[in-house]
Amino acid sequence: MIKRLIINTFLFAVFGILLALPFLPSKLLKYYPQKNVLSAVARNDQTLIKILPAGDMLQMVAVTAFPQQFAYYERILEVRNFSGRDMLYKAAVFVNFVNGKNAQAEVEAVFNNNSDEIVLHPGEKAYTGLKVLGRGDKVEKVEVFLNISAKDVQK
Amino acid sequence: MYKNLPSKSKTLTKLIDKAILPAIVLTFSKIISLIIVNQKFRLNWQVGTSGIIYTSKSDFVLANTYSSLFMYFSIMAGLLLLLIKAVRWHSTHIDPKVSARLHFRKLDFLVTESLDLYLNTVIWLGYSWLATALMLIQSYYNLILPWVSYIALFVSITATIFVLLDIEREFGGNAFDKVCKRESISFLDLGRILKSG
Repeated sequence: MIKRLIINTFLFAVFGILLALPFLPSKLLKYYPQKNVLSAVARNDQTLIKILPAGDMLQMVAVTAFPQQFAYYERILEVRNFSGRDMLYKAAVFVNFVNGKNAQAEVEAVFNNNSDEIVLHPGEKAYTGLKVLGRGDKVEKVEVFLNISAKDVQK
Repeated sequence: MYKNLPSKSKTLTKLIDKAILPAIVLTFSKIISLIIVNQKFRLNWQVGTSGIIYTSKSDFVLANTYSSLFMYFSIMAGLLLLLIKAVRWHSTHIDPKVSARLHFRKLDFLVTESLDLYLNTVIWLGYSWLATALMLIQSYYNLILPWVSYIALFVSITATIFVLLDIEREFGGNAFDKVCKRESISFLDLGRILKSG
């Protein structure tokens, strides 16, 4: 009796798995809400970080606070979910300089629902990448960590 | 293979046997169609630890819609083959002319036994309704374009009706009807034959 029960349970499980198998790839498809995707634009006198669709090319601008040759532009290379539960996002930003140098790094940010942009003045420091923290569509806070100075950019 | 198993387990084992090929075919059709859709529409995607990740919802919906549609076409192809077998080549009510023609062309293997046919039907119809249910749920949550789920619903209902008609032909009507049908004689003809002695 128990043996038969075990056999039947096992066979039902195998049959269930076989029935579910073709639908598993659908379960693996995911997307990020556009709201949580960050990108950045550098303007003449300031750097603006905005929530924009990923993959967008950002405007090429000269940042007057830097010497003229250091006009640069950036684009988001990747946005990745690091934690399914906390919806932790990371965006790597690639920076090109007109003098042929380039840099790739990260800026970390935790998004705030009330604000979808931050203005940064590039006199002393410039951001290099973004990291977003939040839950689902709702992000709570934005923090930007600046770790490249005008001096670093000139290297 | 099934000798030592209880009868219920035997049926389950046969069902598992029949489900392996469709499961593999459908899984591959889904994966291949995803690759094709991603390439064709140049979608922005990447493979992450949690699966295939799209950076926008529209890309996700597009990939999901067309890959589901492609997978459903595979289910439709399987169901269509089964329905042709059920209607034309079912051993219990195959037309004698068709049977003879198949025999002369050495295509006897196309004639299908009821058990084999109904086990396959359970599997393919099961996949069809599962896919339809999943697509309807996804279209409710705007994760797929709704027209795909309507097509799936229409095809599933049509296929189910055809299968039910075949079951009716198999088990419905009495033995007398079946004899009359097989001999291609009407009830009146039979009366005349009996009267003439």
